[in-house]
Amino acid sequence: MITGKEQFISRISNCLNRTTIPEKPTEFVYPHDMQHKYLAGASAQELLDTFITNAQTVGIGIHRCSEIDLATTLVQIVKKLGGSVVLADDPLLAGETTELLGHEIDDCYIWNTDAGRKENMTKAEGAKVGIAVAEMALAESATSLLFSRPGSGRSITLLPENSLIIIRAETIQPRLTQAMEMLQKQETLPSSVNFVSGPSSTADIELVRVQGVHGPLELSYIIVG
Amino acid sequence: MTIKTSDLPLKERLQKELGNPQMRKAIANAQDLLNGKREAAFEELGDFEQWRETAGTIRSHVLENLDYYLTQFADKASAAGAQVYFAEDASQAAGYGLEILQKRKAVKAVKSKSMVTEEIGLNEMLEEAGIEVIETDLGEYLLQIDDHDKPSHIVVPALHKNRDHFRRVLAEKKGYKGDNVPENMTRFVRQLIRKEFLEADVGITGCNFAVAETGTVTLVTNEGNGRFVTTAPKTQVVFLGMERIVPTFAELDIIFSMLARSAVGAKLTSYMSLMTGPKAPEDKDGPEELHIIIVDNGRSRVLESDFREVLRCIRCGTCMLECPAYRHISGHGYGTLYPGPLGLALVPVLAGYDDYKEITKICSLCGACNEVCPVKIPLYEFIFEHRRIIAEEGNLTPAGEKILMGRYGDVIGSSALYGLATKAARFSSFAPKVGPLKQWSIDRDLPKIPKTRFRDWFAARKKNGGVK
Repeated sequence: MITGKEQFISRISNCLNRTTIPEKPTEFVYPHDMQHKYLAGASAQELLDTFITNAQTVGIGIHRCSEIDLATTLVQIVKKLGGSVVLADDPLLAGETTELLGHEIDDCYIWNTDAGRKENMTKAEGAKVGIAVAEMALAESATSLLFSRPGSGRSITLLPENSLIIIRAETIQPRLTQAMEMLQKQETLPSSVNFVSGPSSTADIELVRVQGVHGPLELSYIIVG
Repeated sequence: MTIKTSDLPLKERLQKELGNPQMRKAIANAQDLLNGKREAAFEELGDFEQWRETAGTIRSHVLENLDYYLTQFADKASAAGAQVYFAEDASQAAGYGLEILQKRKAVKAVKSKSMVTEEIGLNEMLEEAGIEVIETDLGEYLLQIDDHDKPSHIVVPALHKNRDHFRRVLAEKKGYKGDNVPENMTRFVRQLIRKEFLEADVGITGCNFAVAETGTVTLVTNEGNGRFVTTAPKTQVVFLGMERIVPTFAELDIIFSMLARSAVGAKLTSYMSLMTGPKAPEDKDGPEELHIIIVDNGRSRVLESDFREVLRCIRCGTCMLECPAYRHISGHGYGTLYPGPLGLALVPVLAGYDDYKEITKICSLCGACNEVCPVKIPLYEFIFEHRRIIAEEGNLTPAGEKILMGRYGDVIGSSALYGLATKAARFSSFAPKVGPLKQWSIDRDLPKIPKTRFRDWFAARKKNGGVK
């Protein structure tokens, strides 16, 4: 539902010295193309290296493993952090990984599409570690992109103290530009796309950086492949 | 809060701020630190001039086609399931916000930092109606519990207060027993607000930029409060200043690339959330209802004026960080919600000369803001033009001005003191050649710093189809 549009928009048109909304906007030509030149032509290895360096600079933990070792790697990390886990219902985690985590970790909750809002959020709030899978990653800003999905709620990487985000090495792109191009190609957008580029942080008191405000205190990436 | 944040006369306000050495030191430190970080971030990005010309061109294009893009945005957002409401002024916007909350019998709302909600006085209206409103940005929260102190910067609101002060406030108001270490105080607040997030009926946010092509609203934070406010409560209300639109995700790329670097010297903030419609039916968290309130509140007056391009602003705060006047008086000295060079260029046309004539004299016309604005707003030219219009109306005389500016003029007008108080190297080419006390209203005595005069700039802009 839209309320009050006509009067409002017609005032805007008047301010722009016209009486009706144009059928299409004036032509827009980008004066420069600098955004496509950033890390252009970088090899997959260079993108990976840049991504890792930038992640470490902002305090993101980095783990690397092959897809076969993902399950054991996750178990090791989670055990070290201690406590319960909430994880996304994702094809990359389904099967062996989920089974092993369930077996090794006392309280391991898979985001449940059959359960209600309250149950899912309470489990996420109680969990020590949240595990989700990124759609894409960006070398420039050490960013991971998360789509909200029925099997992967927004809470997973927000409520638990520790966030583990799994990144497929081959999805690492140069910068925000490529992520936006990917979003433009989506037929339907998820209700929420989150770009995560670091642990939650603030500098509101005397500009002293403090890691861990409302979101996770610690963020780690597990790079697969 | 509204656009006006102080009832003190300008002179008293300036005296008060100048007499606060702790604040002045804090702001000076903040400027130096954040300016250094910003410069490093843009150096890494490369081609700053190309980036900001592109960003400025995008913003200018949107303003020129605002009726088209606003219509497109509203239609797409509505198609994605959001409820869109167009509000002409502050009372309509805040009033409709209140109506949404009352219909849902809300008793508690959590908010992530938003300038437009401050502008329309939303918190006051909700609180009067008995709804508890909790600011969740750490700095805003600390100011809120500190008897609603006012922000002194649009990005880092509590810059003017130190850790000892906040320890006392937390102890007094919230029973904090810890020390003054920022990390410990932050953890304490985390616990307090976490509870509020999970209990709140409604989440209230601003919107950094809305994407016309998809009806998407966006929120940029470092703390994660923006994500929380849009995840836990069942109802989300978004307030959007009507000019904050980009055509597509491609332009959002450019604007966000500039925003994080300009505001905090980071490549991106920790979190950027892009939200299209309410949660999907199968999603288990996120808002079940999404309301978007598009606010004019004087913006159309700016749009039709010669000052249209000030609406390019992306609210990064860079002009404040670079401003030598801001350095001495902080945001509080301006007495306006939007302070610094942006405030001086915007507020007199957004809210009228009647109340905002004198503030334009705060500026020393050094032109530093023009050199750093990431969307190339001709701030210097706009502030000067306001002063010309005011002077031509015969409202102010140099003598009256001298009395009015008092000690502030001594500090900001003296190049010796000014040189000591600012980084000499950075500003050496901008050393204020105009005492704000004397001759600013005399056209021929203006400094030669800006490369073009306002009317030349304006003529060229028209010729180039609104760009540059």
